[in-house]
Amino acid sequence: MRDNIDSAELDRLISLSTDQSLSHSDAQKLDSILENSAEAQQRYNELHKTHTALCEVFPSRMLRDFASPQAQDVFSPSRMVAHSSSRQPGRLVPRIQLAAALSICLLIGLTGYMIGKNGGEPYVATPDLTHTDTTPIPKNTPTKKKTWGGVESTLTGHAVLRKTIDVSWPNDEQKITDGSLLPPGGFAFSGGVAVIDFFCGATLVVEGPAQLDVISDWAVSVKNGRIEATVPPAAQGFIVKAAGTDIIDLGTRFALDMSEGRAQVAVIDGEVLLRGKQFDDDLLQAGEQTSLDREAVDSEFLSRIPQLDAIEQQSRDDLKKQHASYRHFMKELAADPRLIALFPAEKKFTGRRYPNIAKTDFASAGQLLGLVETVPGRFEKESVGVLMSRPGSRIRTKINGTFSAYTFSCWAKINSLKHKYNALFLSDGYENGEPHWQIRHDGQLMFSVMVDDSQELFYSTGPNSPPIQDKGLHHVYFSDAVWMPSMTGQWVHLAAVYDPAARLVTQYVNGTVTCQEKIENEFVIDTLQIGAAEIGNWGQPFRKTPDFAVRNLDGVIDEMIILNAALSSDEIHDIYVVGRVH
Amino acid sequence: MQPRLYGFILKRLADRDQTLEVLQRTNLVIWQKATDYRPGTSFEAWTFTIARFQLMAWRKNQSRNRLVFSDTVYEQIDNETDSSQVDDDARVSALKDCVKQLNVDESKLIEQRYREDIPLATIASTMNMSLDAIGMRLSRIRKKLGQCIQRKIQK
Repeated sequence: MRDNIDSAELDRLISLSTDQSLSHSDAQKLDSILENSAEAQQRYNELHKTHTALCEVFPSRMLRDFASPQAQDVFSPSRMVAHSSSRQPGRLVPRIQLAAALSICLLIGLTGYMIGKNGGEPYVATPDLTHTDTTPIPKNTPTKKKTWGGVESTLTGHAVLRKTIDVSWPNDEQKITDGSLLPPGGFAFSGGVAVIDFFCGATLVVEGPAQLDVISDWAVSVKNGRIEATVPPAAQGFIVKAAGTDIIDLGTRFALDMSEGRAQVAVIDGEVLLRGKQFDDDLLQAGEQTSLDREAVDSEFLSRIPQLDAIEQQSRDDLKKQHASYRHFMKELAADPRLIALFPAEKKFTGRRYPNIAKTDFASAGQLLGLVETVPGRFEKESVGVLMSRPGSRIRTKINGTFSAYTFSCWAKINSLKHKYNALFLSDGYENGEPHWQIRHDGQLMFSVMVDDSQELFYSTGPNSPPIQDKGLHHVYFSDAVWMPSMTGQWVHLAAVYDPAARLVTQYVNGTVTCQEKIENEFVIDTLQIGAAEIGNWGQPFRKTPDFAVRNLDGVIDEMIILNAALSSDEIHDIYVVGRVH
Repeated sequence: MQPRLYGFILKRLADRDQTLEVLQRTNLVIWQKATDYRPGTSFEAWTFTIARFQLMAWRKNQSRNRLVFSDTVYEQIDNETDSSQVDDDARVSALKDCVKQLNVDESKLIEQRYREDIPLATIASTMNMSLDAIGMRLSRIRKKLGQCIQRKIQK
């Protein structure tokens, strides 16, 4: 054997063989090198392993389609030209194309076929479930893809983090909020309990410290953690990979303990199949337990597995306590003389009046108008939120008085930003000193105060209507995008502070400054007023046409607080911290 | 499954176009023989066995000039034990971590070469580089990823 191989030349030849094609002389050269060197063969194997793994992690359209029910399309004559040999075009016979197309379907279909065929037999073929679309796209980054009907938004994820209870994250960067999508990749926390719903229907209750790797809608790898998995019939075939073993669920509930060096599994209900290492498709039935690493089974381990019912009861109790504490905070805040209005969204409000509990007398109660729905608020059943998903839905109020600064604070759960501008709090006429607080369709917060409404600017309200006078001199203070579709259904705390004395506008998301901008001289106005205004919509009762701008927020707004003061960042942070639901 | 089957065949043929043709034939036989599959046995091993037969048939029907490997080298490669499914899973898992360490240019090239399946000549032309230079760059990235995978697996 030849020891001193020319590794650069070998790498070049291997790359040619994987990426392009080898000339006849290069092919002979590769053959000769591999024949004479075990080291070269080893290198060849290693590079091919990496290449195959890359094909799996970044599946090309062709390989993805090979394993999809739409595979017939891949084998249409036009595509075959693209994929057939450039040296010998047309070698592939149409019959082969069609048959191959059908054969591809089976690679996915075979799984279902095998499951169905077996009936109760302990076999689940899992050819494709664990290795599709393992794309390392940054988590929850919305993308767009072209479809026949236009551009469609897509997101990356295989599961949803439904709920966390007292979870400690390694750091803020790795923190994942409830309701977030879980993309393929690692997922770790050092304590507490997380409930994860996989798209296939399986639910995992995971107690930390835990380290998981989400592989697909159908598979997860567990390195650490105590887990209870509930797998309904629709998710039959769900795989938990642990300690070199595939635990294949046949529609059941089972527990897995991968903590403190243990690796054991117990079936609570139904049965699972164990595959890999010392297991050869061994069936584990209800009441049975085994170790995955040949160690003795700890008979007490089931008692350590998180029980969702008990955890949820504890969570409800904690929520009640937290809500009681929050109510106390709100009651104290209601007496703050700086307060202009406070709409606490308590669970009992009568009729269509939306209570304002501020002790000051600037603002009236809100009036619910149109199709507004009361839905569970941030404290679930303990509080109420108002959903304003229809264009005519609005909470209307009237606020008298003049003010020297503004602080707006609210919690919002946004379903979508479906309009160009989506209202948080807008004064009707947008006259001098009046505020507009809203979110643009791209997720940017907008805060503005009218400075001089006498300056004539005209705004079109419709193709058949005359333009109306709308905006005078004002400046809109934008944040960067703070909301994206992946945040649908999450509660977010928003705040805006307009401080003419300090000449600053500061906006906050979840208690943290998201943008701050100086108020330039021409935009300074220190006599502020609100008048008639709306939460979650924009009222324009004095417009001269029947057309109106659609700005209702498609979502829920809770606990709108308005103060005649520029709260400090610490005070905003306090409102966020005391109000956030753990 | 398809990438692994593709990799299994490519390693033995060292030719992308021939590999795609044998892969199609293998898929066809898998479909035809679905009822022969014995539940309880490894599905992956079963498909590899079918691929092996298709490879033999392919080699038999091709002229030597079209094949990259002589019978001797083919047998050496074929006789080498392929890594287990568990090892392959671990490699893929490690690779997912490793690709995060690539810089923007490297990630882009990998995306273009693998996911987007853009011919190297097109990538080279777009980047105003020679085909050889792009090939070498890709080769270096794969080597780097391979080393990273090894480190992670050994841990």
